[in-house]
Formats: sequence, structure tokens, C-alpha cells
Amino acid sequence: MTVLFVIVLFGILLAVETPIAFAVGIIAFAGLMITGIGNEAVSAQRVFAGMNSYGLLALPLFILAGNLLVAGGIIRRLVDFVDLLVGRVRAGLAYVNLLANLMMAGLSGSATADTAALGSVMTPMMKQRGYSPDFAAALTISGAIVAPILPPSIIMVIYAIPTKLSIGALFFAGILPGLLIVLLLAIYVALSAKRISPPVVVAERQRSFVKATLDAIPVLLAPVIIVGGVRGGVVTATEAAAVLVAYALFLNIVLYRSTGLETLYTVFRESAITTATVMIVVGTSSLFAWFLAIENVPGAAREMFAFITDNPILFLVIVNIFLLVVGSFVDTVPAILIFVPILQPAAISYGIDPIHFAIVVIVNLMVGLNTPPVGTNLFVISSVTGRPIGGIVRALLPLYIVKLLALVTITYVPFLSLWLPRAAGLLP
Amino acid sequence: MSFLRSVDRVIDAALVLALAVIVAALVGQVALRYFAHAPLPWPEELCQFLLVAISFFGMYRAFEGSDHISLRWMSRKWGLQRYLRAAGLLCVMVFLAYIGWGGWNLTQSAWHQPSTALRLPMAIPYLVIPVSCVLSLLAVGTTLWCVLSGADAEGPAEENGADR
Amino acid sequence: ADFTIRASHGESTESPLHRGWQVFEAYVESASGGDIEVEIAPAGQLGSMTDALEQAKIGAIQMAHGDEQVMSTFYKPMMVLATPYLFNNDQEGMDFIYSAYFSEVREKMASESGLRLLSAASYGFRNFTNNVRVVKSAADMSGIRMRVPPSPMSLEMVKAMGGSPTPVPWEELYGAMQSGVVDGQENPIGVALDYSFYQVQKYMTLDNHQLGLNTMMINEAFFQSLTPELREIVVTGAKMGAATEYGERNYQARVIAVAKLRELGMEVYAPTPEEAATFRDAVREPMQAYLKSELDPAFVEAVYAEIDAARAADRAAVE
Ligand code: NA
Ligand code: NA
Repeated sequence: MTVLFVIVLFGILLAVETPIAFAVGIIAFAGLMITGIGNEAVSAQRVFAGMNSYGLLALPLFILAGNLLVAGGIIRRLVDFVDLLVGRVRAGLAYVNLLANLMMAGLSGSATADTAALGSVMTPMMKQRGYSPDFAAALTISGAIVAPILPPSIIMVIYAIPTKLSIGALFFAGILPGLLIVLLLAIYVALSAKRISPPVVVAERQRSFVKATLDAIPVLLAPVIIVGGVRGGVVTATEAAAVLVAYALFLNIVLYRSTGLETLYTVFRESAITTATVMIVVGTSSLFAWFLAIENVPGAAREMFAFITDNPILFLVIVNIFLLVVGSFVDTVPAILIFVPILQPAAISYGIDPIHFAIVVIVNLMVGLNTPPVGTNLFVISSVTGRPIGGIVRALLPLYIVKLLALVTITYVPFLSLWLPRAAGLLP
Repeated sequence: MSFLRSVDRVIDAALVLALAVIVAALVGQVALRYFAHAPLPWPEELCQFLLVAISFFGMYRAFEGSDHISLRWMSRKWGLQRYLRAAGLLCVMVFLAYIGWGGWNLTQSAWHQPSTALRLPMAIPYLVIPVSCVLSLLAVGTTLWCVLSGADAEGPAEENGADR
Repeated sequence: ADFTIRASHGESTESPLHRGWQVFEAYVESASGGDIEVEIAPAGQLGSMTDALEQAKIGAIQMAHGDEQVMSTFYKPMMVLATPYLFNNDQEGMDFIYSAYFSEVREKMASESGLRLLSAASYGFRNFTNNVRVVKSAADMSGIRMRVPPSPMSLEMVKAMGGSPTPVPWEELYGAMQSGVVDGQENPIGVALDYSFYQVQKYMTLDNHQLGLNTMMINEAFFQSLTPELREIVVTGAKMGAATEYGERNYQARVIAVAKLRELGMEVYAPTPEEAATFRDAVREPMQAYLKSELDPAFVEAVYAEIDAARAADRAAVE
């Protein structure tokens, strides 16, 4: 009864445009009031404790590193570089888009940040060379979903908190699934090249290959620093994020000299506030999770699943459908913090590896980022390109099928998620 | 009003400084361990507390800039939306007051409760909760006033976006 | 039910600790004729150990799980329990908790902190593991980068032996050992097995430095609100729970875990009495000095005197 009331209240709060962080907090507050459990001090403690976690330190650091790299003009450098690599073939710019997305994913932890950054560079460029702007927008946000699947990943940092999974293992687990998504998207581009590509391809800029490569090398080194530093034993996963920030500062201030003090101040300030808007969701979700645990909702959910089926494959089908629906309405961070503590114990009871399950959940929610009614990246690309959402969604339809195909493969082939972390010795 | 403006400026500077300290402390810790084999026991905890402080004070600043993640779908020309949004904001204020009050109680009971590594009374990090909640209540109250009086008909995002 | 005890602990539902709490639940519910209902939230669902203890302290829940280190956050003198080489064996440590002398300390904790210590179960001694060499005596610790939790006493201990104490957050410990950020760590034996540390650690030394104690803590105001009959039932149930947990864990750690770790390729070394003494001697002075600087020196002296007296009495009983 209480749980039902809480769900309805949540819907109403979202509908009247209450910020999600506070909608989550208010329903927890209401639930505790109704059941007469807890008090104001424990509520404040849960919000505080939810944020007071070593693993979450990677969050501001990855956000800051991403913002610094964008402020330093690295997007242009990356796009120039891949344009030289694959820009000349048929539908070349579509591949450039995917490849740039892939490289950005290795630098940044957020699909939304990548959408905003790449969208502002790639979509005008594709439009200028004769591609449909709606297709350009659709392809950009489809490629951007790999940002949090490939390391580094803000979403994985958040996922690791309630589940106590190793961030390093999660990072490695995401690599093959992320590459698979990009590969499938590239196959789609190849198969539909005739339809999507403009008839004549004109290479516009005549830049020196050597210069573009030299320009891009320091940027391409950044992912090497993260993975190499962690594997080489110099730094922990969280410290790697700090070192990445230091490296980005070095690129901006010393090497490219692209960022002044005033810009730096703004980047730091904006990063702090973006961090806060995510962290406050983490905090109020932790209060909500406390309410759920006291009401024993995770236990009830496990029993419900056990009652419905004892087949892990069927369980995963249910989870897939459920999360696709959830992802269409709820933003990724609250979705993970609210539902993973309920779903993961059930998944483990079906013998599903929690690391594999994490990748399934994240890919699922990433697909949801691009679906209406609540699709954060859809809103972002729409505002960056000035195209109405309806047109972009139409261009997205075939891409949804590609992404669902990737999702199904990742869900039912655990090997894709588990092989690398095992090979790297991060999983038994 | 101008007092609050200067408070905001101080908070912004503190946010930037806190983030910079986190980066410096973690990079410094790597250097100390790797080169000097002598890492310190407290940087992790310091960074965690700074992150919590960034989160709570950033929460306040995000109210002013309308940066909190929310659904925005109602036309600002529609008459009823004002009252619907105001009701939501009122709930937010109740929640902030409750958490702020709880944070104050936590602070009071934790003066003799040391943190693990810094041995700092937990009351000090907990104090961030009531202070930021009071500031946020002022910010949300102002927004509520704007919504009800129709002063934000153009949408708050654009309005504040200009001065950043 | 007239009373509901909501309880939080940090371990899985398969753990000996959970079984202990289940025994507590079963006994208290039946012995009270249903007057008390117990609801256990396992696996840290309600928060970390410190968080849950704070919740119990402010009355948001009634009971929580504490240990020999975290209790001192709420009542400083409890710090003494985490002193390295204070106890010779598990039984000695648990007997001390229930001794007449320490019962007074527990009463003081209840009135000053709002948390009452009901019972304690040993979860085994913390032991060193590392990747550099077989550590047979304190001198072998020289230069080893040993991960310790961020507690001053653990840092002092490793430093006193000549090792280099390296704080690494628990979440990153496995990776830090694998990649060589640290050479070793110290935890109870079962941890090396449960968290697969044997995959990244070669040597274990059974030096038995710090006795791990899981405690059942209850909100003092709630406890006092019960009738004396019900209080007695709660106290008895807690002792039963602790006995169950200790029995299960002791069997698993002593009989199963060591054999399993050896089978999985770890070299487990048990120091001779002479070698064991080198560890104890290396840390005694710095530890006493540290404790006396933090706590009332008379209290520290009294604790050592009590334990020596109990040891002498045990010896006299068999002579
Ligand atoms: Na990424
Ligand atoms: Na969506």
C-alpha cells in the first residue's frame, strides 16, 4: 500500500517539474512519515552518508577532466584526426562521427557530456556536407551511449557504490560491449550508406596528415593513462581520475595554452555544480534505499521474481523490458540507485554474475537515454541542433533496432562482459 | 540582497577551491606513495568530506541557476502550471527544512564523535547540512515567489544563464 | 508485539554473524511470548557500521552491529580493545568483555553514549599477509608496504615493527595488492578467503595481532523502556547469538579456512612462541604510550592489570 502511494506521488512530483533529486527525497520522507519509522536525524544522515563515499570521488574528477578537455578544444582535434583517417570513404562522415564518439568515450564518462560536445561539432559538419541533420543528430546520440559503457564511466562509479562491486572490474567489463555497440552501428552505416550518404563527398579541408596526428596524440594518450595507470599499479581507479585531471590541466595550460585563468575558474565552478546536481540525487536515493530496506522491498522483489520464474533467461527478459520502460521515464542515476539494490540480489539468486548484470543494466538504461518521453540526450541534441524531437526520433527508429540487437547480445552472451576483467585478473 | 550576492561569491570560490584541493590531495597522495613510499592516512577522508561539502553547497547554487535535473514540459503561458509548480516547490521546501533540522540534530549529537582518519568531530562535516539547507530554503523561497507572481514567465534557465 | 527491535548488521545472510542474529531473533521473540518483535536488516542495507550505530544511538533503529574499532567512535575508552597483542586468544578476549571490571565500563558507555554493549563474539585475530617474504618475526616486516585501515593504532603498530604502513581504502585493496601499490594487508583469516586475497598474496603469518570482536549494541533509552524481565531476555538472547556466531566462525576460520588457503597455494606460517614474542615486544612500548596519551593512564593500567590477573587465575586453575 505504502509502496503504491509512493510510486503515485513520485509521478505527480515529476509531472509538476519538481527536480528529480527532491522528488526522490520527498517520497522517502512521505513513506517514513506514513509508516512512522525513522526521524529527521536519520534522514539527514542517510543523505550525508550516501554522498560520503571514497568511490564517488571519481565523479567530480571525471566530470572535471571531461569539461577541461572540452574547454581545451580537443573535440576539434579529435574530429580533424579521424576525418583524415576515414573521412574520404562513402558515408565517411558517419564513420567519423562513430569513431569520434568512440574516442570521446575513452576520455569522458558521460553520454550527455559527449552528446553536447560532439553534437555541436559533428552535426553542423555533417549538415554542411549534405547529410540529413536529423540523421546526424540521431547517429550522434546513438554513438554517445558508449561513453559510460567504455571506461572511464561516471555511471559505473555510481553503480559500484550500493553494490560494492570493483570499479576496476566494471571498467574492464564494459570495453567489449562498448566496442560491440560501435561495431554494430558501423555495420548499419555500411549497409545503409547509399540511403544516408550524400551523393558527392567533398573533402573540404586540406590539412597535413602529420600535423593533425601530432595534434591528436597527446589527447589519445589520456585513455592510456587511465587504463595503464590502474593496471600498472601506480594508481587506484579513483586516483587515476585525479591524474587524468592533472593531465588535462597540463594539456590546457602548458601544451595547447588554450585556457586562461578565468576559463579555468568557470570550468571548475561548473564542474562543482554539475557534481552537486548528481550527488544530491545520490544522497536522496540513499535515503529512499533506507526506506525500501526497512520495508524489506528488495526481499519482497526477490520472492516475487522467484514466484514468477526460476529460469535466469526469462528473468533477464523481464529485467530488459522493465529497464527499457524505466529508462524511458527516469534518468540513469536515480534509476540505478533505486532499482539496482532491488534487482541485483534477485539476479545473484539466479546465478547471474553481478558484473555481467551491471553491464546489462547500464546498456539498458543507456538505450533509454535516447527514448522519449524522458530522454536526456534527446533533449540535449535537440537543443544543440535546433531540430524538433519528432524528426530526430524518426531518424532514430532503425538505430533503436541496432541498439536492441546489441542489448540482446550483451545480455545473453556473458562472455562479452566477463572475459576481459577475468583476463586482467580483476575477477576470479 | 547584496549580502546574499557576496555570500554566493564566497561559496563559488569555496567550491572551486574544494575541487582543486581534491585534485591536489589525490595526485599528491600518488606521488607520496610512489616516490617517497610514505602516503598520509587522511587525504581520502578529507577529500570525501570536501566532496560532501561541494554537494550540499553546490545544491544551493544549483537552485539559483535552475541546474537541478528536472522534467520541463509545461508551457509557461498556461495559467495552472504556476500553481502546480508552486506546490512542488513547497514540497521541496518542507523536505529541505526536515533534512536541515535533522542535520542540526546530528551536529549537536556528534561533537564527541571523531572521524576515522582526521579525528575531526563529526559535528563539523555534519554542520554543512543545516547551513546549506537554510541557504537553499531562501533560494527555493525566492523561486516560489517568482513562480507565483509570474516573474519567471520567460523561464528561469535563460534568465540566469546570462550572468554565468 | 509491544516492542519492535529493528536491527542492522553489515554481513550477508549466509554469514555466521547473521546466524547469530537469527538465534537472537528466535530466542527473544519466543521467550518474550511475542511481546518483542525483531526485524533484522542484513548486509549493510541500512548503512555502514558507523552509520547504523549512529542510527541506533539517535533511536531511528534499536540495535546495530559494532566492532572493536568502531565502538571507540562512540565511546573513546573502547579504543583499548583494538590494542595489538592485548589478548592471547579469543576466549580470553570474550571473557574480558563479560568480566566484572569491564561490565562497569560498559555501563558507563551506556549512560554516556546512549549505546549499550550487549554481547561480543570473536571473529578471529587479524593476521598479516604479504607478497615479499615469509614473515617469521617482527624484523622480517622491514620495508614491507603494509595496507592498514586509517586508524592511528594500526599505523603505529606496523611502524613499530619497521614496516611501512600504507592506508588504502578497503574498496581498492584487492586491486592495490594485485598491482603492487601495496605488498600486504592484515585482516582475519576468513577475509583472505572470502575476498580472494589468496589470488594476489603469497604469504600469511598467524601472528594474531588484533582480536576482532563483533558486538551487539542496543539503544540505551529503548533498553531502559523494557521491563526488567524483557531486558533479561534481550541480554540472554544477545549472548546466545554471540555464542552461535563465534562457534560457527571459529570452526570455519580455524579448521576450514587455513586448510583451504594452503590448498589454494598460500604459504601459511605459524610463528614459534619465541618468534611471536618479537612481534609483541616490538609494539608494547609504543602502544602503551599511545594509549596513555589518548586515554586516562590509570584506566589503561587497570585494563592491563585485569587481563594479567585473569591470565594468572586461569593458569592457577590448571597448576
Ligand atoms: Na567513457
Ligand atoms: Na528515456
